Amino acid sequence: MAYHHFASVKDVTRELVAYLKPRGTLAVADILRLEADEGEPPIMAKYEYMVAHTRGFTEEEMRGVFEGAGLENVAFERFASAKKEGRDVQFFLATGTKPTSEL
Amino acid sequence: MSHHHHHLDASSSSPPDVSQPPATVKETVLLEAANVAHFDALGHDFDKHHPDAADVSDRLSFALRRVLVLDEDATSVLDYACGSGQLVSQPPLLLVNSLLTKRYFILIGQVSRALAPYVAQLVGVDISPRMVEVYNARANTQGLEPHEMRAVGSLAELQQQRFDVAVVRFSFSLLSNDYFI
Repeated sequence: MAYHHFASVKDVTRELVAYLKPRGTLAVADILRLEADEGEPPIMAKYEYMVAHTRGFTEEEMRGVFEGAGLENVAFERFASAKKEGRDVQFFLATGTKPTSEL
Repeated sequence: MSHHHHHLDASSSSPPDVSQPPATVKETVLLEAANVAHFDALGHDFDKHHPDAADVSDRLSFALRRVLVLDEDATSVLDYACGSGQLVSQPPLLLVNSLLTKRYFILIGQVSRALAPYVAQLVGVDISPRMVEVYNARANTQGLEPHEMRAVGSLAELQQQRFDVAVVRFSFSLLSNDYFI
């Protein structure tokens, strides 16, 4: 790399796609950003010093990042929910396939 | 890997997220340092640090096995920001502890969450040198050869290797925003 930094979501997605075979799949699981939570402190506020996306991600954000990196057949599902300090936390799994032909 | 400079995407019409202020280069460096320090300090305690994640990890493992086509003889998996390997593999030491403390639910959880038995190769990548160490020690303890399960410190070390699947589990939120120059 030209210079060293803690990479962004967009950069890492592109990098990981580069390491996939054609027709390979990228799978990302993380915390779902909930509209109902917008008035509340971020769900990962305690880890603000090390977590950039303290509210998680929306489906739209993830689809944007995946499609922006050239992935196809992008799918998004909620695979689990949990309680954290009395609040609902939902978890998503986003997947996308690398096209057969290079972009 | 292409060398490119980061810039604000002029074609993007969506405004920056005001609840997550633009990260400066300095903040980004601090984020990375905080993550390396946090995970290096955890070491083997990584597993104890996330006991309540067991159920969520199990569900993720089931979801991945449902969504992905995994072949134990062929599928190669890149495990980005892999941590200690707890999320992909059975940790025998924890199993023993679990039996001694009668915490059988951990035993069940660890086994069902393991992805390792369903794929041919797992390659972890983590910026924390300590996590890479723990991951490799775990592979060794389980009798897995480096070509079956190993971790490295950066993607660049993988050179020309390409994978059937890349997974990122609960680490995307650690990454910085795109809004820095």
